[in-house]
Amino acid sequence: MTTQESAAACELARQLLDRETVGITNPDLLGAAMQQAWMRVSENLRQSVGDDGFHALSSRALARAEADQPLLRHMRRSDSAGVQLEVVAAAEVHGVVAVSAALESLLAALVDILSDLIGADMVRNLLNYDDARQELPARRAQ
Amino acid sequence: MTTPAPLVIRNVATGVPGLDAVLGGGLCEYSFNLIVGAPGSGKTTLVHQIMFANATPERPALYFTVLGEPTIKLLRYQRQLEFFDSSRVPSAIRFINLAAEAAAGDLDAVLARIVAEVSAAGPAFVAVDSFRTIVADSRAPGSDGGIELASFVNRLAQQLTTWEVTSFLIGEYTLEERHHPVFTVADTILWLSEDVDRNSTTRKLRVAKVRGRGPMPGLHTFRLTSAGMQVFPRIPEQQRRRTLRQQTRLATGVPGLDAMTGGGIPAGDVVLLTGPAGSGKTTFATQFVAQGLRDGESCVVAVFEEYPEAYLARAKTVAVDFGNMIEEQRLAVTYLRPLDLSVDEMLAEIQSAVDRVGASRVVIDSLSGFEVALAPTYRADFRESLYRLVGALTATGVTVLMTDEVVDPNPGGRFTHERVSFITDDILVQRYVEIDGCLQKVLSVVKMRGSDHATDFRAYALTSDGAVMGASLSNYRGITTGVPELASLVVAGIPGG
Repeated sequence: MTTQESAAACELARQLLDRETVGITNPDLLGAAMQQAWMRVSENLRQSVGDDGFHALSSRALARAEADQPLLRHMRRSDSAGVQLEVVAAAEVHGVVAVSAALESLLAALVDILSDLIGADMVRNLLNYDDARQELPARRAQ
Repeated sequence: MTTPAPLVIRNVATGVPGLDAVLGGGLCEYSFNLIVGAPGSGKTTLVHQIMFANATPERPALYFTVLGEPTIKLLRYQRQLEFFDSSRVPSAIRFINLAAEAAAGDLDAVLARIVAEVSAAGPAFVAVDSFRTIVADSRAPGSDGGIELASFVNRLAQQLTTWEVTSFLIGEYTLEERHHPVFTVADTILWLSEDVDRNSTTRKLRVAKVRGRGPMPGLHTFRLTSAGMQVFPRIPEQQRRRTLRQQTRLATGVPGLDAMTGGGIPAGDVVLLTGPAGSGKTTFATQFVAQGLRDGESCVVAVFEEYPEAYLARAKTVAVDFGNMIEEQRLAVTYLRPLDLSVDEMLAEIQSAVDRVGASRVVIDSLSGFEVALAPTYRADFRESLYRLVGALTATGVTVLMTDEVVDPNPGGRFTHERVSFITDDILVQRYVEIDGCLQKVLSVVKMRGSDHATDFRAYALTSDGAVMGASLSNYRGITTGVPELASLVVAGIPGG
């Protein structure tokens, strides 16, 4: 965890990871679950801010988190589609504990950067939206 | 066989103050609305305000952003507005970015994505901001994109209407482009524009088209503040509910003046008090207000030439404590001096104060200040502006006293500005005359509709207790020249007597 990020951002980052990994102990499955956590964050934000917006956010978050978590340099892959994280492969090489810490730092940086721009409350809502959506009663599709 | 119930198109209240009146009751449910205007004209704010006023988690609003303003910036700045309840994003208002589909130039993909999102969310409202940029990226070289855009918009309209969605397409257009084929599809077209005249800007809204409603014609000014958009409808006098005049007279509070006017000012009249600088117009008006308060009425004073604090400090000469009256909600002092107001904004401000305190007397001090406070575009047509303001006020039954400064109160026999007197029921004229080498203040009642009023000039004094009418100058001749002579001396042939 970097020293730059706020306590609220770190807490939300932890929650985002826990949402996918809670109860999983198998290291192979944990890697996949962490990958899923990143994908979910990506999708939720891409929906609102678009691919370019998410690319800009994640690039800056990586630049900020890599100072304290050099492991992220080995996990990232940037291409025309934006920043990709190869979490599963990194977990196999560096272990789930180290990858989890790196991913948590990245998510906290992402949350803090976006919170500075649009407010922490809205960031939390956007990142948790797919959970909230599942709680809504299914609307008729007539 | 039973008769099928007639189709009733429900209104959607916009949540934008003043806009529903302009639209003839609100937006039609499931209508397809174009919000057009130049960049910065308030299109996005307008649509956001409507969505935040109406969307719910069960019937959300989908706001599709395309190319143009990045969504993060959009959210960053829009959330500063008071109506933007961030806790409702994205549960009730969802922002969906279509930049990838639009940039690929595949209009079918854009449409398919919108339909898929609509199908999944079941929204009550959909906005596409900006629909013009969707086609701008996909059009063929040499084409202006008009046909592709019209085709896209037509297909989108059919889809959204079928899904029972009230939709908004936001686009940058100028008035010169108003015949663009895309406009034929819309149920409602709202044009937002900004007039720049010298150093002032005035925002205006026009309902170019509404299906199934009778909108208020003309250009309506609007203002964008931290509260969002507020529209100030043009209010023709006949469209407001008129209040019948009471057959009562109002005491003026100036000792001796009621006798001159035939028993006071007829309730519901428009009174013009003119005079040169320093003649005591504000003093007379203040006493008129104080008398109303003493008689149990409520009053509004619209000041243009001084701050309310200064006005209230000067009003301490009257026996009524205006500060207490303000606290008791029986007096409102409005200060209108921004120099770029529309007459509709002024009217809204004064009318709001009248409604708030239940006023029966309104003082406008002064008309010259009122004129200066207007945006230049309205100053050019001051007569119409004043006519609309006064007409709307008196239609509600209030008595209006306006002060007006004249440089020479009697040039060529005219007592008032001719641009003003046409709307007045009663005219009181103050002026200076020289008598025995001293400057004397005199007043005459030039016009008092339906009243047996005095026709002579009477002197008055401004004392520490206010204005007090004095003796008649009926034994003088040539008062309107400013240098009257005693009638007896004139008859005796004594020059300069």
